[in-house]
This record gives sequence, structure tokens and C-alpha cells, in this order.
Amino acid sequence: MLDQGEKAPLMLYESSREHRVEVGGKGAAEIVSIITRTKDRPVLLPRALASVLSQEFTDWHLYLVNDGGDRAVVEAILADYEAAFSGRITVIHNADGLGMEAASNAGLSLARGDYFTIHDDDDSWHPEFLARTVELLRSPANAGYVGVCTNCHIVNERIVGDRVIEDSLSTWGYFQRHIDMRNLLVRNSMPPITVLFRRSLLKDVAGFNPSLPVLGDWEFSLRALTLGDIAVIDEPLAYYHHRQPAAGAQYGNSVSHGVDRHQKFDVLLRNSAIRHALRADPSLVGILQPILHAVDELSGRVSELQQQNGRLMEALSERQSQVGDSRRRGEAGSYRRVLSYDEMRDLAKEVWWERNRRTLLYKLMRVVKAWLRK
Amino acid sequence: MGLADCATEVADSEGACGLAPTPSRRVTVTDLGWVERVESALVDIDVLSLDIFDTALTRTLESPVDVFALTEARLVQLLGDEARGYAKSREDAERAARAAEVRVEDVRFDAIIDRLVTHKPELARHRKLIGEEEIRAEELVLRATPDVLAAYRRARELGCRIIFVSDMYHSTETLAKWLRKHGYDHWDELLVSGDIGLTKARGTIWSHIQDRIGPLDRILHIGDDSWSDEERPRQAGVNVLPYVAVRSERRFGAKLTPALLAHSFASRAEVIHPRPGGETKPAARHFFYGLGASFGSVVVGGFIRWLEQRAKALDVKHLYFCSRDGWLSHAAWLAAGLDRSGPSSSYLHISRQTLNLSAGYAESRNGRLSEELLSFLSGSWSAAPLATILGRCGLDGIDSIVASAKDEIGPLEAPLSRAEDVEKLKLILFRESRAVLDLLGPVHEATLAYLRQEGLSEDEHRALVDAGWHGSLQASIRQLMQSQGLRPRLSGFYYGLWPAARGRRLATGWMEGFVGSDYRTLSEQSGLHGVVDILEELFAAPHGTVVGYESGKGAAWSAVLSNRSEEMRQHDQAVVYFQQGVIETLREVFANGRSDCLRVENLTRDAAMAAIEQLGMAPTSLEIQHVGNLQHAADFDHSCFRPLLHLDERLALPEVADRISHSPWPAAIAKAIYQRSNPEDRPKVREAVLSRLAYLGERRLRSFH
Repeated sequence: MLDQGEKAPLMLYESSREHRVEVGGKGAAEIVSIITRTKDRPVLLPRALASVLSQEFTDWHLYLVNDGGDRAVVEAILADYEAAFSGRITVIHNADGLGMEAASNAGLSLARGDYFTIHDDDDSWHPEFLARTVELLRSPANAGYVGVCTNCHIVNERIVGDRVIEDSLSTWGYFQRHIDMRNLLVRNSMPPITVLFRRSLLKDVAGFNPSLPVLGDWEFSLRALTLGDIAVIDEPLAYYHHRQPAAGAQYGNSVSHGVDRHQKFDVLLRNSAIRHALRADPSLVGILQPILHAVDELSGRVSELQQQNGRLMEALSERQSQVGDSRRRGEAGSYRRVLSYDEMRDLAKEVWWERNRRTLLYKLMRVVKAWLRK
Repeated sequence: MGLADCATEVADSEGACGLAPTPSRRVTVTDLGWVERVESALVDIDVLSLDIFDTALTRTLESPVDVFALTEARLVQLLGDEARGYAKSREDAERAARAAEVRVEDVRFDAIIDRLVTHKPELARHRKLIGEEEIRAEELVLRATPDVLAAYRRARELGCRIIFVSDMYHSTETLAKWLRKHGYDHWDELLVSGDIGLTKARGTIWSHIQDRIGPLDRILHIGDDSWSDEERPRQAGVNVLPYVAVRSERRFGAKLTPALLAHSFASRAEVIHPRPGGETKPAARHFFYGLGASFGSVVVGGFIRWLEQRAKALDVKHLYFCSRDGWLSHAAWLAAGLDRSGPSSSYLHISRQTLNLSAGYAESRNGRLSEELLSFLSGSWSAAPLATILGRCGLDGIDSIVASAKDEIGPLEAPLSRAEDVEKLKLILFRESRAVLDLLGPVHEATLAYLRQEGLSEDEHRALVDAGWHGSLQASIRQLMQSQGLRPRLSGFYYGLWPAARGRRLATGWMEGFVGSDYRTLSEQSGLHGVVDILEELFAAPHGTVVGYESGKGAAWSAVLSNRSEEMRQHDQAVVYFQQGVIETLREVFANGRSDCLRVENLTRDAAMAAIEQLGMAPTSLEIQHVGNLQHAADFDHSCFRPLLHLDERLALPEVADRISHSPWPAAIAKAIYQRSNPEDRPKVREAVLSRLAYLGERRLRSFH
């Protein structure tokens, strides 16, 4: 559990478990350390390996963490890629699965690059991902950024036999042109496959939180953002692959396959953060309560208005179909004649509300804030 | 040494940027008929008016803007990375300067450079050098046109006055220097739009000429542009004799970077240095030879250089160039002598038919055909007749299948196009699984025996070489070997891979693409996508598809080929010349390190991509005419041949968008339709083109504006 043993929720993990480095060697200069976690997903792993090998930027080293999966299967796949890696891979076989975040830490503990990134075994990169992100972080003008993220494509896919069939490609709906702490606190807009961090930040935030079975990347990004901003490249330089639950536990995404688990740990993580803050400063309750109360009231009002809006839209739709029917029958009906005066007034109100809702809510928030300041 | 000195040294050393052609090589194209016509016309006039660019002088580069790419290459040598992107910025700056200029009709070079350094302030301190380098780049590539020079000299002999008229941003002084350098040493007037603010394009320059020279009907104007040099002067009352032998066709397919220069020089050489018999309007054989010597050499030459590097890096011991699309690459590999320095190589006779049937046989379990095999046996890209579909794998020899097909689907001659009929055929074949497997058993055995004979079961690292695109061939071979308990170390090198390929990497093992990657979206690779059918036809072997293998007693296994007359005819009439152009050029380039306009070090992936993008997304009229006539077969049995472009019909407007969307070469069909449309239909055709090809971007669609 998140708070087990009175651990602070954002406490950094220090692994005490042994891992074994089975294959390895250093090839070219290691500017970027890439961590890939895998467990018994032979259909996906070759795609991830080839994604790394297809990078135009070649000064990287891959730390492949086989987190309790069948070792022989991984080795058989790697046999096909040995020449292409040319010494740029270290494989870590964990006899038992440590979990995603602990597996990341196992890879990070060996990393030596200036930058690091998590490339999950089911995701992939555009060939220019590393070249573009490294170029950005290398620029002296961007020295203040602790990392960089890119836009990405969402690939919906399914597994048939030994193949992955990609059914559709779309753009990432949660992409943010600027990584805003406020937005990131609400939702993770940076899938791990889209992010490259400076390794130096590990001195201050250490590794991933191993007590989180999911959302560890989000929690890590939040901590990273406390040290500095994350730059953004608004081009889809990564592919975030989604498979539906039918793919089975072995091949499901952590997102689409474990929706319940995501929701649960989302709540636990938030509770934990608030708890941590309240312990540090109990007076925060006095501020949080009125704000949350006002927000709750506003939410209720918005919800009512949405329902009202829905009813009006239904009425409008019905009227429109009546107009259509009367026209088809050759009647001299028109939109204005069909709507009554009261309906017209309601409709006008609705349109006005739709246009001004944001402004009103914003004004209301300012009033609440002013009140709080008093 | 200062930068300016350095620039001088660079300019003076031939090909200092590694891209300039032999400076002493003159334009050799000539149109004797035109020279005779101009001689007779000179008798009746007082003044000879000559356009300058692509008339009196021409460039050894394909498109005028390519000079900016050459300038960038030279600036990068002098200034380093900060000059990268110069060419594109230079092009944008000129557009911006023109848009901002409202007082006069044309802009001056200074105004363009002012605009450039405003947009790219890091270059402001190199302003003088940039201007000098662009002028030097022009000087490196400018040549006199012999026909026009002859006309000029004849006019001088006849006592005609001479005027040069150019719509150009460079100064009168600069143009005068270039004209003198190339043998035009006298004129009565030199009128340059950038300096006088009047243009041929608007026709305003002609009244100015009338004021200075005299009556326009005593002037003969020679130029290449159908609007500025023909239509406009004719409207003004000037006598006109067009000269189009060295006309440039602007193309915007490739990004404007130095990578396009190799193809630009090579393609232009085919226009200004025609081979004997291939003058201004080359016949198909000359056209295809030239296409091979230019486009083909840049693409195939780049590929085999890359292949050699990658094979060495991966310690590949043997390369299998696969039939039929790998044939040209293998011939080029041998011609370039790379078999002496790189891994050993051989030509592997395989086909989708033999491999898919064999792999399908191997994966069929319990006497039932696998889903993939059923799809392969019943599928067709070209809605082939039922009889063809049954006949191509010998299923027409199974009476029960033929009878069921007739009963349940319909006449054998009817095309199998409806999805429900394909499903019916699958069901029939599934019912008859045992009979089908009995038929395929010998094919499977023979294929395995052939692959073993060729060494595919060996332990050492070997690789397949083919055009691409899904890795299915590699997956099938590995699957076949694995069904025998073998695990060969087999990699693959391809021209390109589509995104679907990354989903089958477990089955394929390692593979990589030269100019196309399965980690790029299809829309990002639209240039390559537009030339796939072209490459498959032009790279193909001079033999038909492999339909099986045979062996005499104790003799080696050899392929049984299906030599179809259409394919062989096309090969003899067009493809063979393209392949000769490629092989002969690359033999020379690799033996000597260079040819007239290609250097071995310029045969790179970026150069190949630029060539592909030019052909794929901005084909010339000649390319559309000749390449568009090639026939292509989409199905694995090569039974249905269809032309790449349907050029001979006039389309109704509503059909235009649909035709573009479904064409294998969308940019070409769009251009062909646009050029052939009635003037009154053009706005609507343009609208359809722009909506369907919006993904190409504004720059590539400029030819439709």
C-alpha cells in the first residue's frame, strides 16, 4: 500500500533486491540511457528493440530489464538483434518480477548517460525521437529544462498469432503544448515513451516509486517538475500503443487493461499527496475547505445547467424534425412559426449561457479567492 | 585566411562542395530545325531580343531554386551548421520580398537578402558573404546555350541590333558579367526587371523597349516561357520564336536542401547533354536510359552503398538479392564491384506465390487450411476473374473445387470482386482442405529443398535484399526454416518498410529500410509511397515470376518461371534501358569515383530520398508521359497488367478527386488531369487536387497555383 509503514507518499525508493546483469557491454558513447521493462511479451519486444535500433541518434545504451519473464524467450529474440546492437545493450534478468517501477530503478542504477528515458516494451518511437529531444536539451538556451516531451500518435492495435495488427492511428488527445504543473497535477499528459529526462535530476528525485504498480511515471514526472520545467516538442515523435482488454493480461496495456487499478491508485496517490501536505501544514485545511466547497457548488450548478441544456437540445431537435415533416408535407411551416415565444426565449438564454459560462465561472472563482485572502 | 578568401578558394576548386559538375562541360543539346527557322526570321527584322535564363544561358541544375541548395552546401562548408536551412530561408525570403514590394514589379537581390537576414538574424553578420556565394554558385552552374549563341552571332553578322531582356532580381551589372563570360560580348540594351521595375511577365517592359529601341514589329523575341516570352510579347506586337530545348521544369517534390543536388545535376545533364538520338523530345528508350542514369543511379547507387556499409556493420556474410525486385540492385552491386569488397552475394529465385503457399502449408494444422493461406489463395488486388484466381495456384485442377465454385459463386470468367464471393471461395477451399494440401505438399517440399540448396539453412549471418515493404518474404522464409527445426540468422535490407512491418518483427527477425522506415507513418512517406509501383516495375528482373521449382535426377533445383508476354514486352521496350542507364552509370561512378555529374560520395540516403520525392511528388511532364505508360501488376501471379496512369480519358469533374485518391501515383495523375483540363474547368480541378493532395503541403502544390 502507498502509505504502508508511515512512508511519505513521495518517498524515494531504494532497492535492496539483487538483480543479475546477464549480458552486457559498452558500445558507442552512452549519451542516452534507455530503460526497457519487459515480461513475457515476445510479440511486442522485437518491435520495441527495433524502435530503439532505428533511431537516427545512435549514442545510446539500452538497459533491458526482463522482470521475471521467461529468460530463454528473451535470449532467443536478442539473438536476432545481437549484431545490430553491437554492444549497446545490457540485459538484466530478474528472477522474480519486481514491478514496473522497481524494474526501471534496476536499469537506472546502471545508467551512465547524460539523459535517460523509459521505452516500454509495447511502445515505439519515430526514428527522430532521440535526435530531436537530445538536440533540444543540449542547447545551452535550454539548460534550465529538466526534460523534454514530444507529442505522440495513439496506435490502437490487437495481437493475432505472432503479429500485431494496427487498426488505427490518432493524435494524443491529452497533449499539452506547455507542461503546466497545474494540469499535470490533474492528469498525466506525458506518456513515458514521449519523455527524455536529464539524468542529473536523479540526484535530487532519485528513481521511480516502486510501491506504485501503475502511475509511477506520472508520479515521477510530478517530482521532476518540482526541480525545473519540461520542454515540449509539438510533433508526434512517439507511438503510444493501446490494446483492448481482449488482448489478455499478458498483452494488455497498463492503461486500457487495468482501468480499475488506475482509478484506485489515482485516488490513493492524490490522498497521499494531500495527506502529506496536511501533515506538514495542518492550516491548509482552512484554505482547502472553502475552495473545494465553492468548486463543489459550481460543479453542481454546471451539472444542472448541462441537464437543462440537454433537455433544450432535445426540444430543439424535435421542433426541427416537425419543421422538416411539415415541409415534406408541403405545409408553409417555418422555424419561427413553429417555435413559441417562450421556447424562443429559453433558447436565447441557453445560447447566452453557453457563450458566457466560462467568464462567469472565472469571475466567481475570483470572488472566492478574494474572500479567502481576506 | 578570411572567409571571403576561403570562399574564393572554394569557388575556384572544382566541386569544392563535392557537388559541382565539370565546369568546362558545355551544353550540347541542339535543335537544328530551330536554328534554321531563326536564321530565316532574322532576315526580316531589325532587332533580336533575347531572354537570358534558359535561353541565352542555362543552368546545369534542374530547377532554378536548386541554386540556393548549392549555395547552402557552400555556406555550410564556410560557416558550419549555422548555414543549414539557408536554401529554404532564401526561397521564403524571396517570396516575402515579392509580397512586400508594391512600388515596382520586381524585386532586387539586395531586398531579398535584407529580408533573409531579418528572418535569420544569425546570418546578418555574413550578409556580404551570402550575396557573394549565391552569385558564385550561379556562376558555377551557368552555361551558354549553343543554339541561341549561334542565333546571336548570326544576328550580329546580319547587322541586327541586340537586346537582352530578363525578369531577374540580380543586377544588370551581374548579368552583363555572366553574358560576357559566355560569349555574348555586345548588346544595345540589357534590360533587367529588378533594376527597371518593369517585367516581361506583365508585359509592361515592351512599351519601355518601344521607347528606347523603336517599333516592336521589327523585333524578334526569343525565350522559353510560354507566358512571358510568347503570349505577352505577342500581345504587344512583337515577333516571337520560342526556344524550349533547355527549358527548366520547376519541381518542388524534395525538400530544398543540398541533398537534392545529386539528382538535380544528373537529371539536368539528361536535358542539356542528350545522348545520340535522344534529342529534345526523346523516345521511350532514350527517356528510360536517361531516367536510369539520373534518378535510378542516385537511388540504386545510394542503396548499394548503404547496403555495403550496413552489411559490414552487422557482419553479414552473404546477401541474397531476391527475385524479382532485387534483380537490378544485384546487377548494380556486381557492376560497382562491391562483391569484391563486401559480403558474397547470390540471386535468390523466390516469389510471394511459392513462399506463401509453402509457409501456409507448413502452418496448416490437422488437415485444415490456415486462415492466412485461405486469404492468400482467394485474394486479389485487381478483382481478377475466378478462373484466374483458381488457375494461378493450380486449384483449377481439382474438379470438386471448380464445380463448387461454379455452383456457389458463378461463371468462372466473372471477376471475383464482391466480398461475399471471396468468403464463399474461402469456404469452398476450406471444405476441400485435404485436396488443396495434397496439391501444395510438393510445392512445399520443392521450396524447402531449393532454399536449403541456396544455403538458407546455414548458421552464419545472412541477409535478404529486396524492395520491401512488409517483411512478409523474410517472415515466410524464417517460418519455413523454423518448421524444420532450424533457426537461421537471417536479416533483411530493403528500400523501405511500411508501418505494418513493425507488427511482424517477431517473425521477421532483424530488418531495416534504406529510405523508408516502419517507424514513420505512411503519410510521412508519401513520396516513397508514390513511387512503389514504379520501382517495382523498373527494378524487376528480365524474367517472369517464380511459380515453382524443379530438379532432374541428382541435378540442382532450379526455378520454374512464368514468363508473361506483356511483362517481357515492357521489359524490352522500356525497363531494359532504364536498367542499362543505372548499371553503366554506376559502373563508371564506382570505378572512377565519379562520372560527369555524380560522385560516389554523393550517393547517400538523403540524396536518394530527394530523388524519390522529386519523382513521386513532383514528376515532370516527360516522366508522366513515359513512366505513366508503364503497366503494373498488383497481384502475386502478375496476371492483370494495368497502366500506372490512365491518361487517355477526359474525366468528368466529380471523378477527379476519386481518381487522384485511388491512383498509385497521386501527384502525377493530378498534374496530368490538371494540364489536360479545359481552362474553364481548371479552378474546380485545382480545388479537387488541392483537397486531395493537401498532405503534400503548400510548397509541393505550387505548380497548381
